[in-house]
Amino acid sequence: MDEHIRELLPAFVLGALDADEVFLVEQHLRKSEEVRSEVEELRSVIGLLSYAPEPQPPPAHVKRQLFARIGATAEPSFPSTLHTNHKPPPPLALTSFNLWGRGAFIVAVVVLFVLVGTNVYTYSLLSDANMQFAQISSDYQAVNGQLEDTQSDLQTVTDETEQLRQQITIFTEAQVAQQQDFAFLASSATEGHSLTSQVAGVEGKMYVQPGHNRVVVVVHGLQQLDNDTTYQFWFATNNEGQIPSATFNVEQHGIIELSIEAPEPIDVYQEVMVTVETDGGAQTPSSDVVLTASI
Amino acid sequence: MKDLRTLTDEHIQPEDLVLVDRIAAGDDRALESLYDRYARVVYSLSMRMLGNAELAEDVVQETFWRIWRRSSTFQSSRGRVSGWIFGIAHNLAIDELRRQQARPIPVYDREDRPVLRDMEDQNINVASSIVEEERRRLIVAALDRIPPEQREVIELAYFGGLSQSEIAERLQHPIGTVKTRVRLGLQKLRDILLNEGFQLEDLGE
Repeated sequence: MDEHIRELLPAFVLGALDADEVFLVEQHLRKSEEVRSEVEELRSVIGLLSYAPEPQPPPAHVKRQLFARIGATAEPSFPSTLHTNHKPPPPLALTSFNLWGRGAFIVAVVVLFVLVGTNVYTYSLLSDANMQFAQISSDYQAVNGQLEDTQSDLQTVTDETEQLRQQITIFTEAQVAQQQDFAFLASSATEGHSLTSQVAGVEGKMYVQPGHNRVVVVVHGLQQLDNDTTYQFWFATNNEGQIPSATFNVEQHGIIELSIEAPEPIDVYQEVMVTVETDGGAQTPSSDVVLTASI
Repeated sequence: MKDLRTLTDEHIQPEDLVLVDRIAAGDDRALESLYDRYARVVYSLSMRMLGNAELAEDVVQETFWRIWRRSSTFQSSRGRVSGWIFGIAHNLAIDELRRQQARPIPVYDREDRPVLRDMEDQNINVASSIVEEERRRLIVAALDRIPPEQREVIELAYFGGLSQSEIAERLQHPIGTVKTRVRLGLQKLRDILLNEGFQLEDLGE
């Protein structure tokens, strides 16, 4: 026996394998007598675990319900009244019987047999119908229960799938943006401009392409801000002054890479800067300037 | 102790087979006898796995209902009647556990029938109870003798219905460690039981 398969067998009989491993074991189980024998032996051991829990008798109503359920689907016997209440007529003395009486008696017996036979047949049909109805009801309840379970499982899977799809979309978008950043940075047309700061340890680089709006900024050394403040990026021209752009914050490590779309091609602007503003950003920059660069 | 076990086994298995044959022929009294013999183990197992009396009662009823409907499919060559019954109950309880994972339900008992719940079935077969007690004593003693970390993974798999990867996640152990513990634990359990004098055909399956 393959050693790998042998190692899977204890978990197989415990029902603790994942689906792909179960499939693998079942393949060997079909082919190998040795595997079958080993599995039977392990199942014998596992079977004893059922005796391990603290013994607890089930409540009496469980048994009553079980047998009521069985009774509801069992074929009913004929009502006892058909057998116990019917008494054969006493023998008649033919000598005291005239022909009319004998004829009427025969007709009555024939009618009686026809009626009883019809009743028995009808009752038989009714019994069959009842039995079939009980069976169909039972099957319907079982199928309905399974359907509800399946619908619940399906809803769970659908929800999980939707969450997964959203995560994949976010991841894909992030990956595409990162690829675009890499391509942008690797292009021979990209120019780098240093961002300088009065704050010790803070510096950065800004990458742009003449004639394009895109700006990639890499900064390190920034302090992580409180929740009520934010960093804000600004573009500036001599004529229009400062134009507000993206807001951002940094993690504890102080490093951030930003990809920003300028309102106009980058050649329009003479300067950029990063300031500290109240949370949500501002329309005019504060005096707390942490980075600047001339283009 | 071994004599009691062996004699009772020899006595019970043929009786079980006769009962299963009678059930297949539509004899509900035979089902009642089988119920009185094994319902307590089935209920205890279900309670241990599900921790909920109402769900455990459902498992007991469904187990014996399936025996009633499917007794003609039982093959004595593939194991003991008791193992067949416990296998049905175990699978039903695992199905319920997985349903709970997909759709959590309250684990507390329903409060609208506490009296019924507290009324134990008085018809449980006394001789079977003695055998159960003896078997339980032996299996619990055997479980106590395997290392706790191996016993833990076996119990999580059998009574918790967890896969090895789920156990690894729950215990925060590498999957390889869990696999090794399952394998070694079960091998050790088998060796202990065999050393106790069990024959494999006496192990209840």
